[in-house]
Amino acid sequence: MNTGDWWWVTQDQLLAGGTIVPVICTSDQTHLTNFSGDQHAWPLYLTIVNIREDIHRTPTQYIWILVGLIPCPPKSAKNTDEAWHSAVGTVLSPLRNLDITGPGLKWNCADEFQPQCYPLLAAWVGDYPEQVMIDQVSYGSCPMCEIPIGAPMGHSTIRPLDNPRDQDVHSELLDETNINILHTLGVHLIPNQFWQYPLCNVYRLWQPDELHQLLLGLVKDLLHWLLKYLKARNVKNQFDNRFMSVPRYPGLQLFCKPFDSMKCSSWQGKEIRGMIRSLAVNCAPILDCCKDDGKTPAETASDEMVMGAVCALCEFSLLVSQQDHSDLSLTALDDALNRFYKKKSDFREQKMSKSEKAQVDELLARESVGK
Amino acid sequence: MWIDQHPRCGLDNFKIESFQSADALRKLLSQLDFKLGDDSWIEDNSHIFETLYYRDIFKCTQSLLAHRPFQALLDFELVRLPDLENLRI
Repeated sequence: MNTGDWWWVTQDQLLAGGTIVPVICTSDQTHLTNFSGDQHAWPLYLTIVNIREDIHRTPTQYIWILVGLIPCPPKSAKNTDEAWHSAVGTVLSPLRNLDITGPGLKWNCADEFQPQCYPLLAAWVGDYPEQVMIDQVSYGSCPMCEIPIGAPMGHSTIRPLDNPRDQDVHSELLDETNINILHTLGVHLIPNQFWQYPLCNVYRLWQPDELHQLLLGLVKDLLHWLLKYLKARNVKNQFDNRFMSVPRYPGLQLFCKPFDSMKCSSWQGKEIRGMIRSLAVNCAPILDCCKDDGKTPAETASDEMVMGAVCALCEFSLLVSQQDHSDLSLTALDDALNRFYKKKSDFREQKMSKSEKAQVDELLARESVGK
Repeated sequence: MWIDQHPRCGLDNFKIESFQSADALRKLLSQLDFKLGDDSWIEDNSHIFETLYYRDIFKCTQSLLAHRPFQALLDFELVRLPDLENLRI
């Protein structure tokens, strides 16, 4: 993290000689036990970024310290978010009350120096329900950007982080009681305690979550759309044969069942990573646009688009799993994502629910009758 | 390795085989810096639903910063890393 922009920008806002101690918090509602009346707890853990990140991933190093057990409100309770914020505010109050214009805190470090430390809330690890609760935005809206609810992701004019949320703007809107605008932005009509934390932007606390957002989110959806597309094109059997006959090779996962016979709920990140590695190779010979096998021009164009979307997302997911990123890899990621959003339009039919499809069919039928 | 050296080596190094007295171990653990033992928990009954138990987060942060086994693993400075083509990592 000390190579990233956040640390550089924050350091400029402190007194000379100040040492940033970035704090990461993580929380998740946890079922504790069945033996004492279905007890739930909301453990809150904390660590610091100054310790190298490979240590963070080693559970036996005990680098994550349990700092609070937030009580879970009963299911029927009202103002649960408010109660949670009040409890977390109590635990994290030393961070909120830190004076960044002062000399900092002289703490002993393991290297036997006493730097002027400024502990700042830098990141929060949590799932989506946790994110919307901490940001106090409505469920379904983006915790980071002002994308209106229901706007399609990857829309040419609205892309993630093109329009980031600004806590100063939200705070001003709340002071002026601009309820309609806040409602459009999906922001709750109460002040967020995290707006008061020094040098902390509550809407940028979130780090990308490869497992939930990409593998179990976008990639899993793509696999479903692809399956429906292949069925519609009557080439699913060919795909299944190729899918189950991947040769043994280090890093490639072998699947003994067809693509759609695996239960979706049992798909884990490991299986999806395995699929992604051989997906483009399995699809390419089936959807090869250069091959002249009696396809209509529309089918050829559609296959080309689908193959392009599959390749772009495979490329993106393989690139994103690298441990380090440079400007070059970030440009390549951006390029792959742009290509995916441009090409995925051919999955429109597969993305529709049954009711939406029925509506479209009805409209088409009406149009044909009208003609 | 003696019992008092064990905590200094970090909890990841279970090399000692000579624990003979639980009392001695408990006493040593209670004398560790920052005392993040059972008595480090603060009880707060002012919240709506149940009792809130929490620790002083500054003590927790200090204990991480001052933990000897992490001495070689701490970063305090800003770094710019270029790759072979001089692009920023």
